Amino acid sequence: MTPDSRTLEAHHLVKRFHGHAAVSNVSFALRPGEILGYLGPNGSGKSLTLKMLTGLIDPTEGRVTYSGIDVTGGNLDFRRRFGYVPEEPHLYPFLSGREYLDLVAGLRDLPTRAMRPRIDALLERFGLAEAAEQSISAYSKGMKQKTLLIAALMHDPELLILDEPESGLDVGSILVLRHLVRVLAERGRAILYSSHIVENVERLCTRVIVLSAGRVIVDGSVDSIRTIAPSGSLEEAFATLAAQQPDSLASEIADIVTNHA
Amino acid sequence: MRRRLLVRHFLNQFVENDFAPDVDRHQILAVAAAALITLPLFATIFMSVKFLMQPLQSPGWTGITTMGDQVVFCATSLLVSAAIATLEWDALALSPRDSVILGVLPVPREEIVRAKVLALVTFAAAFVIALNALPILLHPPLTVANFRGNPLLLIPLIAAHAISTGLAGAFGFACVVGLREFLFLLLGERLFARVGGTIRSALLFSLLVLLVLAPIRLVGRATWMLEPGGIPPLLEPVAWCAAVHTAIAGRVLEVLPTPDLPERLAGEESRLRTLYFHNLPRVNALALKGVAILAGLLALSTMIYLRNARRFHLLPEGQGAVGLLGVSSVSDAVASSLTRRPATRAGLLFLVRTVAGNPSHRVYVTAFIATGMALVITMAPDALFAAPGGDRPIRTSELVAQTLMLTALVAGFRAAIRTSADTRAAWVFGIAESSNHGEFRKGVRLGVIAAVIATVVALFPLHAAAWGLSVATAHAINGAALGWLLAEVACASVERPLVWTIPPSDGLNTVGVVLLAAIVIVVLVLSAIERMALTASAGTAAFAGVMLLAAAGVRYFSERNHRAAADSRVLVR
Repeated sequence: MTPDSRTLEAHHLVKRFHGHAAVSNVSFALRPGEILGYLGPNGSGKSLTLKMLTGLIDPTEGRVTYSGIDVTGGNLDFRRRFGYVPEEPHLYPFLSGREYLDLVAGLRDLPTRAMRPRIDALLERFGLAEAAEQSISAYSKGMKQKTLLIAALMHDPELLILDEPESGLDVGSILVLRHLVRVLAERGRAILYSSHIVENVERLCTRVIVLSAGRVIVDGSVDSIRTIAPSGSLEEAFATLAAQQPDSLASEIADIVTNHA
Repeated sequence: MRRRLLVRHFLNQFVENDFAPDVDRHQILAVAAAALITLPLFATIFMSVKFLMQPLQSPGWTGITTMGDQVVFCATSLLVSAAIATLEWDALALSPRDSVILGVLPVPREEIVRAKVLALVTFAAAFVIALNALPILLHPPLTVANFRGNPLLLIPLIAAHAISTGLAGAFGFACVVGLREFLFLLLGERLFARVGGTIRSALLFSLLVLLVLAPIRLVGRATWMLEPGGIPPLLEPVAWCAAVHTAIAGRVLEVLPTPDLPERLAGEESRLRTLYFHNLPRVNALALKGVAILAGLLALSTMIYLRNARRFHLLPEGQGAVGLLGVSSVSDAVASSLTRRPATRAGLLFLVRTVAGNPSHRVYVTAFIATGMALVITMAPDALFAAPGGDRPIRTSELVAQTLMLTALVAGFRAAIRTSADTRAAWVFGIAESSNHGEFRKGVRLGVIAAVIATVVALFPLHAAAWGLSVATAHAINGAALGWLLAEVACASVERPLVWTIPPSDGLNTVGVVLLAAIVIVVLVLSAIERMALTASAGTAAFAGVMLLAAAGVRYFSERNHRAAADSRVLVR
C-alpha cells in the first residue's frame, strides 16, 4: 500500500430507521494530509455518518472503503489504522484514566513496555498526569475528552475521526487541539473533523462538507463556501445553508426567558 | 493475553455494579460479601443442630431429614443466584458503552462476546461457590457425625451437596440470563431499553419475596418429593436439584448402620426407611429430568445470548435506566396537589424520580417491600384476603399486615434517602446553597408519607371487605398515623436526604437478624395495642392521636437539630 493510496471513501451511505432516512446518499473521500470539516446542525446525521465509517453501525445502503478495500461494518486491519473520539464521552467510570488507557493499549496489542512511557508522556502533555490514578467518575467533561483523545492518538493512527473533539475543553486545550490536528495533518495523517462550531472548522479545515437533514448540501473549500453569504462569513453561510435564522430564534428564546407574566 | 484482559475487565464490571452508589461502593460491597459468607454459615449450623441432638440417629430418619434440608439449600442457592443475576441485569450482556469503546478497537466481536460469556460464567461460578462453600463443607459431616463409619463416605456426601446446590445456582442464574435475552429478542432493543428496568424491578421483587419465604416455608421434612404428583409446580426446579443430592447421597445413607431403637422409634424408622429407599428410583428419574432440563435451558440461553450478540447495540446510554413507566406524570400531578412551595415540591419530585429511576434506590425500596410482603405472607397469611368475619373478634395477626407493610416501606425509603442520588447531586446542592433545606427535607418527608397513605388506601378495600367499613376506616386511620410517625423517625437523622450518603454499618451482618426480630416484636406489640384500641372509637382516636403527637415531637426535635447543625457550619465558615 503506497502512502497516497490511503484514502477513506464513503460511497452513497444511507441509514434508515423505520423507513426514515437519517443519512441520505453521503459520499466523500478523505486523503492523507487532509483535514475535512464535517459541519451540520444538531441531529443532521454527522455522528451517525462517523459511526458508519468506524463500523459501529452498518449502513442501510452504500459502503465504506479504505485504500480501495471495502471496510463497511468494520475490518480489523482498518480498525488498527484509525483513532476515534466519539461525540459522547463513553468511558468506564470505575477505571482510572491510566487503567482505561492501559486497557485500550492492551486490546490494541500494543507492547506494554513501549506504551508506558508514551502514555505517561501524553498524560503529562494533556495535563492529566496528576489525575491519572483517579477514578474517571470524578473527571470533568474536559478531562474525559482528553482521555478519549489520548486513547485515539496513542497508537499513531493514519486516520483520525473526531466527533466534536473540542466538547468540554477549555480555551487553552482547544488551541492545543487545533495545532495538534494541523501538525498531524502536515505529517500525513488524514483527519475527519466533525463539529457544529463553525469557527473551529474555518480555522482548521482545508475542505468542508455541510450536512443538513442527513444530506450533503455543500462539499467544497472553506473559501468557496464563504461566497454563499453576502458578508463572506462562513458562520453566516452555514446558517443560510442550514436554513437557520439565528437572530429571530434568539429573540424568541430571550422573550420566553424574560417574560415573567 | 487479550482474552484475559477482556475477561478481567468484564469481571470488574460485575463488581462495579450500579446497585451500589459510587460513594462508599466498596464499603457496601464488603458488607454484602460478609453477608454472603456469614448468613449461610449461621443457617447451616442452625439446620445441623437437629442431627447433633439425635443420639439414636438412624439412616431412614437421616435420609428424609437431609432431603428436607437440601430443599432449603437448593431453593436458597437458586433464588440468591437469580437475585444476583437480576441485580447484574445491565452487565449480563454487552452494553452500548462496551459497544462504543470496544467496537472501534481491533478486536474481533466474537472474541469480545466469548470473553463476556467467560466472565459471566466465572462470576456465576465464583458467586455460587462463595454462597455454598461453608454449607458444602459443614452440613454433610454434621448430618452423619453420630454414625461411626468410614470417613471416606463423607466424600460422596460433600460431592452430592456441592453438585445439587451448584446446579440450583446455575439454574437460577441461567433462568435470569435466558429471560433477559429472550425479552431482548422479543421486544427489540428500543422497547427493551424502555421496559427493561421495570421488568428487572418486578423480577427482583418476586425473587426477594420467595427468598424470604423459602427458608420459613420449606424447613422440615420434604416427604412431598417422594409422593407421586406431590411436587408443587413452583418447587419443581428445587425438587430436581434436591433429587440430584438424594440420588447420590441415598446410596451412602443406605449402608449406614441402624442403632438399637426403642420399639416406637423402630416403627417410625422402618416407615421412613421404606419411604426413602423404596422411592430412590423415582428420585433418580427426577434428578435426570432436572439435569436434562438444566442442560436444555443452558443451551437455549446460550443460543439466544449469542444471537443477540451478533452485532453491537448502540442505544444512548441511560435509556435503559428509565424509571417505572408513567411515574413522571403521576408524580407531577401528586406534587402539584400536595404543595405549592418550590423547594418542597423539588424535594418530593426528587425523591419520587430518584426512587423510580435510580437502580440502587429502586433496589433498596423493592428489597424492603419484598421482605415486608414475605413476612406478611408468613405471619399473617389470612390478613390480606381475610374472609368476611361478621361479628367475630379481629385477631392481632390480621392487624399485623398493614403495620408490617408500612414498616417495610418506610425502612426501604429510609435506606434510599440515606444514599446520594449521584455525587453530582451533591454539587448541585452546593451551588444552590440556601437556608431552604428544611423545605427540601419537608418535600422528601412528604413523599414518604404519600407512599404510606397510598399503601393504606390500597389495603383499605381488603380490610373493608373483611371487617366492614367502620373497623376498616379506624384501622386505616391508625395505619396512616403510625406510618406518619415511622416516616418522621426514618427522616429524622438525615440532614440532606438523597444528597449525602450515610453508609450502612459494618455491624449490620451480626445485628441484622436481631434487628429484624426486634422489629417483628415491636410490630406485634403495636398491633396488639391497636386491637384493644379498635374496640371503641375513643380508642382509635387515642391511638392515632398518640402516634401523631409522637410524630410532631420527632419532627420538632429533628428540625431543631438540623438547624443547629447548619448554624454551626455557618459559624465555622
